[in-house]
Amino acid sequence: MSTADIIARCEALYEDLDFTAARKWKEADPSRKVIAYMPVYVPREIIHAAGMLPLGIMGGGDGLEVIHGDAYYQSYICRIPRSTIELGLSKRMDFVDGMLFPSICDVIRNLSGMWKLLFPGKYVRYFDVPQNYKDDVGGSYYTNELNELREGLEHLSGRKISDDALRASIEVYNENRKLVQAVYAMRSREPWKVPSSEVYLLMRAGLVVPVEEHNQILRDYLAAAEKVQASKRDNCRVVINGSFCEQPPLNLIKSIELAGCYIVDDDYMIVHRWLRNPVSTSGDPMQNLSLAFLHESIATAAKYDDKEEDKGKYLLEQVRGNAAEGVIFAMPSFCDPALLERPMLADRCSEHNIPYISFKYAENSGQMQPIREQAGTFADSIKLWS
Amino acid sequence: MSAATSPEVIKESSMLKQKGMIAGNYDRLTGTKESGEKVVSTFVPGNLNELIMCFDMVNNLPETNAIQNGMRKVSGGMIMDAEKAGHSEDVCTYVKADIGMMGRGNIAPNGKPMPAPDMLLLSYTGCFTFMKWFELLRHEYKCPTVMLQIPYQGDGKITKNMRDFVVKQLKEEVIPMFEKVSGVKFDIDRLREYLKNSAKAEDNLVWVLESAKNRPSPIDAYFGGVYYIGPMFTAFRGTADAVEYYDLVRKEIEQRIREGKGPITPEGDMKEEKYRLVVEGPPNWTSFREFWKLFYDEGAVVVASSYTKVGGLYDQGFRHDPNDPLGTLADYCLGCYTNNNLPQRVELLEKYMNEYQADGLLINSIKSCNSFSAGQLLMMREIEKRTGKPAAFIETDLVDPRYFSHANVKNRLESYFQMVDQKRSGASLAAA
Repeated sequence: MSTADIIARCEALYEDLDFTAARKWKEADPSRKVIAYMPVYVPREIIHAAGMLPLGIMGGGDGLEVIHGDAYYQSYICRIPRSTIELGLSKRMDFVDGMLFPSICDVIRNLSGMWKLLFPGKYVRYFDVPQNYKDDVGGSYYTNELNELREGLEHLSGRKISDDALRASIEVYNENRKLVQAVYAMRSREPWKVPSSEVYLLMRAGLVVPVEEHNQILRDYLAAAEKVQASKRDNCRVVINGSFCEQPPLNLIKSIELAGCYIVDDDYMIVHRWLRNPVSTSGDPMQNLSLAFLHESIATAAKYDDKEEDKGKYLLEQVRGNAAEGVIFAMPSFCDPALLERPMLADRCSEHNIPYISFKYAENSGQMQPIREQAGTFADSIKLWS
Repeated sequence: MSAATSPEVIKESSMLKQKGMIAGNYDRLTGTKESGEKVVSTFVPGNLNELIMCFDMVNNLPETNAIQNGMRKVSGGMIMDAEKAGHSEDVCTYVKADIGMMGRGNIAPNGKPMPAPDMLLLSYTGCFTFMKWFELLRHEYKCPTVMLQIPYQGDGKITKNMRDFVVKQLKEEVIPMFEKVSGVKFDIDRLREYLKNSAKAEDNLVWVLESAKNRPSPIDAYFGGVYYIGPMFTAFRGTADAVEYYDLVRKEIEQRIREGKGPITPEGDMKEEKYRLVVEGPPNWTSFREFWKLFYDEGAVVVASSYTKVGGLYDQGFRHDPNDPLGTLADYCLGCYTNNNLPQRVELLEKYMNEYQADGLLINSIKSCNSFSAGQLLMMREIEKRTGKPAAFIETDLVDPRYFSHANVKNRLESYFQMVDQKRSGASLAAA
């Protein structure tokens, strides 16, 4: 199978806003349940261990006409909640049994309450995470929160989630993390062979198909990409920051690449890479998931940095670890976490002489010429004068 | 209406007392260089004033500084300064007004520079922006910062896990940091004494807010309400001054009820109560007087508001409890209005609509504040559906004058009052 074949399948999954693959998975067995989740992170292992399908919802992108959703939001609120409401009201998610709203910002937080009001009877949980990273403080709180989630899913399915099932699910997600990291590493090593638009679609596929299937897709892609013959271009290597929630249109990623940038790291769909190392499969699985969250999570604007000196540390690691030459802060309009974080990260970049540019987008942005010009000028300036 | 043509503002004794308290606190804040007192910056919702007092520290609230600058019409320039420095036009204007204020020397309303904080107490209660705001301040001040994370009531209840988490943070993070910065050892009995004062003042605040159930309402529970909540939500809860203030304001309102008077406005007593409204959302501060005038000129009085609950839902029964000092602080933080989920907020507004016999709901949607604003259009629909009363939606901002359009707000309010009239006449015809 060629990379083109694999990506064609991933692109079809990405464009399918009726979530046909997830529907088919559910229809195969009447006892199956689907639990949707929004960015940025939920412990999918618990959903998987309950025999359910975790379904990542990243809004409606640029392929969804928002008719009802706009009536629920003022003009100064980002687009992802309105297109998510649209997905719900248009019955595209009518097969979904529950929805998790991670702690990321006030808009997604309030959307959890809206979902309760709009879809009574569905399992809805605001998934809180600790901003205190001490084992016996934030860790205890988070372990209890995880147990509440576990109990909620048990109640929904009518069956217990065993520790063994959790360990098995952690194992399969550890494999997924390893494969995802391998794809990212390959792109960083040879970005001319692994375009970012393809990496993006590969990761999007992982949101809507069972993890075992995603693992196979990733294995197939890694094998196929090795055989790709492509010439290295004189592009500039950049890290994308700020796109962790509302996703940019695929064309925006392609435009950045066409403008002369190799994206060597990013924060798209960080649920796949939230935990940087494998989660232990021995001992108490909930405790292990909790400790992994506390000590192995990547940094993102939705999290509190306990120490001032930690601000931007992860971004600097991304830049250095991938030999990047610059940072593109690409953030959704009205995204509080990303936009409030940016000045601090920008200062870190300046302190370390890392060039950067910033622009905003919406998931349905259509006009790419300004983005291409900005990214192209940035790439040229790095190549000519950096 | 320009300030030059404004009639003289009518002030009652309680107003003068509050003015003195605020001025005193600013003098204390700007005098710490001489007094040697330490300053802690923190937020209004989840404000732990009683605990701060236990360490002899002075409470500085960036939100109220932004409000002061908004009301004094100087916040606009500060916001633009922050935007020029790289802060997005899309984000909270309290944050930008605060950062812009810093760039202009952090001048307090008394004209003196405010000191840099010795400590930031990040009470992360009901607002995500708080977290980033204090990271930004820490980025500037490089001072000790302690986070108190308050879990959100996603399922509309406070669980044991949430409460335990908050208490544990108080014991293991917040109090040790206060001791370290202030050099004062924590004394739980001292905290109990302050909490007793808080509960006394809270009783009277609730009485004041609930006095709006009278017809005519002797208070405006939004525009006037922001003054009534002032001492309670800021640097005075737990003090003898606050107890005295709420005694005084209660007596004044008792007198107004006896005299059958409506609320006091900047132009004197409101004459006729034509519309009773419940308001959701914070007010606009840059045009506060003009905004209020649009209501009292039409005979509209706000009988209940959600904004006056951001610093605690005392009217729903919460009181600080000296018998459980840390637990009660946790309950307080967890219970603030914006820490309630949307269904809880809708239920509260519905309750206000019924209990205060309101004619309708008005939502003042604030561009800056997603914590309040995201979901308000659904809240409006729910209230209309549940009560059958008309609701209206206006949009302004907290302290960014660019987002207050007097003509737009006036037009919408006039249309809304007509809608209330039509609804009433429809109801009268149906009853006839």
